[in-house]
Amino acid sequence: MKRPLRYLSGAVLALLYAFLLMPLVVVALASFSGGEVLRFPPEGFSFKWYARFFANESFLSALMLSLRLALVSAVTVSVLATMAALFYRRLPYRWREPFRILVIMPLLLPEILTAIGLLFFLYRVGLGSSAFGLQIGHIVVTLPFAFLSVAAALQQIDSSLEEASASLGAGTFETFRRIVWPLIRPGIFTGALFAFIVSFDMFTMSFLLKPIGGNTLPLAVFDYLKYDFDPMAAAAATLSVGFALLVVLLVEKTVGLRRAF
Amino acid sequence: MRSSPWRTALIGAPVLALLFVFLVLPYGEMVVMSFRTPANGAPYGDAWTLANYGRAFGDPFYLGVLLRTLGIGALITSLTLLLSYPIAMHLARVSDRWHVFFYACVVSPLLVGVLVRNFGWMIVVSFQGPLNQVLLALGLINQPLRLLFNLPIVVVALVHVFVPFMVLPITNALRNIDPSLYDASASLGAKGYETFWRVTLPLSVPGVLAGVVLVFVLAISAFVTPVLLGGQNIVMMSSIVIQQLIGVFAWPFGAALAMALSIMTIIAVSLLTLIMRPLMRRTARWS
Amino acid sequence: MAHLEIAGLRKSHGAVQVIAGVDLAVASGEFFTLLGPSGCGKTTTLRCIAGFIAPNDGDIRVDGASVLNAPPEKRGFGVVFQNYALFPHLTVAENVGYGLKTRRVPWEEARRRVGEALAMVQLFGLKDRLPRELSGGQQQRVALARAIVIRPRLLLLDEPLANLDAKLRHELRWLIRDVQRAQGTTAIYVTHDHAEAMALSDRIAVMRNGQIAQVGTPREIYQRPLERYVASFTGETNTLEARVVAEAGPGRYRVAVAGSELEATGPAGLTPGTVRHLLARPESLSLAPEGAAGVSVRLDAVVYVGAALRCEVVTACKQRVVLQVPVQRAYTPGETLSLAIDPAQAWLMAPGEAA
Repeated sequence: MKRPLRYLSGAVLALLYAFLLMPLVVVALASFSGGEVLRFPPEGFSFKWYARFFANESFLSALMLSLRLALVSAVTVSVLATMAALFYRRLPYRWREPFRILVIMPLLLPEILTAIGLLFFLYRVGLGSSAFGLQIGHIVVTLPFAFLSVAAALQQIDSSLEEASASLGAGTFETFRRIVWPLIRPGIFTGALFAFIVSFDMFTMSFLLKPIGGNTLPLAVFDYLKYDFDPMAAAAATLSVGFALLVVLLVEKTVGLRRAF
Repeated sequence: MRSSPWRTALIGAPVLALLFVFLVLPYGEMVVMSFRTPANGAPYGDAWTLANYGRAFGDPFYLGVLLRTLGIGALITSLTLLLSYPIAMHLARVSDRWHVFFYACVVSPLLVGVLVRNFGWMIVVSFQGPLNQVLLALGLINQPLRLLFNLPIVVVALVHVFVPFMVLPITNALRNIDPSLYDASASLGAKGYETFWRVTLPLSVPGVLAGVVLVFVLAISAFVTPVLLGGQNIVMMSSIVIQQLIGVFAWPFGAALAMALSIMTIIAVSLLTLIMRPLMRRTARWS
Repeated sequence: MAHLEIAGLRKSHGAVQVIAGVDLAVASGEFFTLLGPSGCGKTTTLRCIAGFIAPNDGDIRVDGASVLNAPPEKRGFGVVFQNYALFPHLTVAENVGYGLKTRRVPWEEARRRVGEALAMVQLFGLKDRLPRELSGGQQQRVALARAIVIRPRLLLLDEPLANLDAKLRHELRWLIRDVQRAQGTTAIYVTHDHAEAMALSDRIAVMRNGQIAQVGTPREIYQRPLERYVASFTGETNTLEARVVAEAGPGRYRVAVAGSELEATGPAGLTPGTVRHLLARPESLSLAPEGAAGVSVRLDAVVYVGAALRCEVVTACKQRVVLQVPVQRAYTPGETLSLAIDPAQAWLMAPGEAA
């Protein structure tokens, strides 16, 4: 490539990446503002908006609800997705694709439609505006993320490994424990991580299914932004990104390094 | 592997039950509801009717919103494709050492969550925000512009979120192209842009199609961003649906509007797939 | 009594019959090979024996007792896979010791047996490596050690050398044979490579379309094939149409080939007038100057292949024959020669399709 052309394409790429990162950077910087109003560049530097955030009852309870939802979703969904992926692998060939599509359906369908459908349905069965209903919604939407991750890990395992294990005297359960489980564990953790982040940030589903008196963190920020436009919302938003990053790092430290092969 | 069918059924049962009860039934219920008459004190009445659909497709207001939503979806999809292709090309050939970094940049809009993103945009385009300051400093404008609550900012913000959905499948398709094809093309006398036009682009079509479908479906069902950044001025289908459901509790009509949106989505996606089919057949991977 | 007996084995996938009635009896300690092209049902047969798939019909008996109702883990057969199937997260020693662990063999004994097995395949120094740190040949040695360490009643090998290059294939071939002999294990070996089958086997079953075409020692299969399919699958083959003229002794006949009369060997009881295929392996043929005894042929092409000259000749009936002759004499394409066949190696077989 000629030199001017290369500079030009480099500049275009730099702009594109800047575009992708801009909102995140702006919010993070604004959250450390020392001033009273939200503006950019921020005036001074302080942690006061974080302090106010942690002093705010409604934000804190929303954070707790979000964490609980994300944690329960991640755990439930990893168990379900692992079972589903094992089931998928054992299905007769012609049933596999329909089953896969069914499981990733919540990902293909607009979240808002799924949420609306669930809203109607939960009311009909008497679970409207319940914490349980909201949890179900989060589980349904996060399931495909975990499933895709576990199924991909499982696909890497050649079926001859299971046959070899059986020929060496291991039954179904022992083969799972000694061969399959160690090999898909990174996939399961990655799937749980995805589920956690997706659930923690889920907005539309929570917006429609939220229980009476309960707010998730994104909903609380949304409500707050409707009336106030100050850096506390930025602090809340930055914290939620921080949580996502923390979980990623945690998983990378505990299992990421074990993905040796 | 031989294993007892009972045990196999047992590991599949929980997921199948969950999805049947909390996905299939609700969607079925929504379809049924869209054909019901409204009622007071109950989600819907006992009688069957087509009136909800008549209103959704017949009332110029709702039809207008529907068509505009599809139009905005098409616009967003095209812009996303335009921005994503260069990024995908870069990501596909970047060295392993830097791959993780740029990959993280690309997926960052997904990781930061819908509110942080929108909030970031609100700050960027606010009255005293950086964009206005830059424009003022450059002397392009004399007084700050009101950039919030109009269509361009909604489109920009949505394009921003959808870039990862477009970049990842295209990168995947580009990575699947055998590098020796580029050498072959060059040895046959093709210049750089000719190779791009005749080899790279056609072979990345499967990835492009996957990205386009995904982004289009996401764009026309977007809810939070139009509400937050568009305010009352930008009315898209999903906010109308929500308004019918939560605002006025017109559940059967809301269900019909939601169905109308799904139907239009399916038609649009099928048309696109049909148009791309001849190209897809040529670029299918050898099996 | 045979060690392994297979009776009336059938397996179909939908409408396709993969195994269409296979009967076999393998003696204890025998090295038995299933030979055939891909899709002939040899691997499916092996997988039925291993228990990975269930046949639709028939029985598989070991020492007189049916194993069909036992899952693979209860059969106690060692299996070596084409793709090695080593557990990627376990070291070499852990892979080899896997079958001992599932059998709850005490730790001390297991360690000793793993060491012995690794020594047998000459890999003791690599016991703490992971499979991905080994070459293909080393991986297959580990797989072999893993299969024999459990002292299997039956050793099943599914094209174990197919993914290796030619040199390693030779080396491992002898290793497999040595290990099998040393252990005295009965081995069932699946391959499509006739040279491998010949070198390793006590007996070979040539398979076609899910059935057994012929069972015999390598020598029988090579020199006395029952039909053209078996002949063409076990090495380079010339077949000439031959009509029996008269019986010249027990199993010896005078036959007419392309206008000349030759002597050939065949199964007993062929009546004059019967049309058969005359099998002539390239090494059983020789060329003599025109006028000598034999079939008159025209030399079509000569290629120097190092140890010999490879000649293509054409008979008066336009039948093409390939043979190898010593390099001493110079040949010119187009000259007329006489083709002689060693009567003991000229074999009359039933007409039929080639492989």
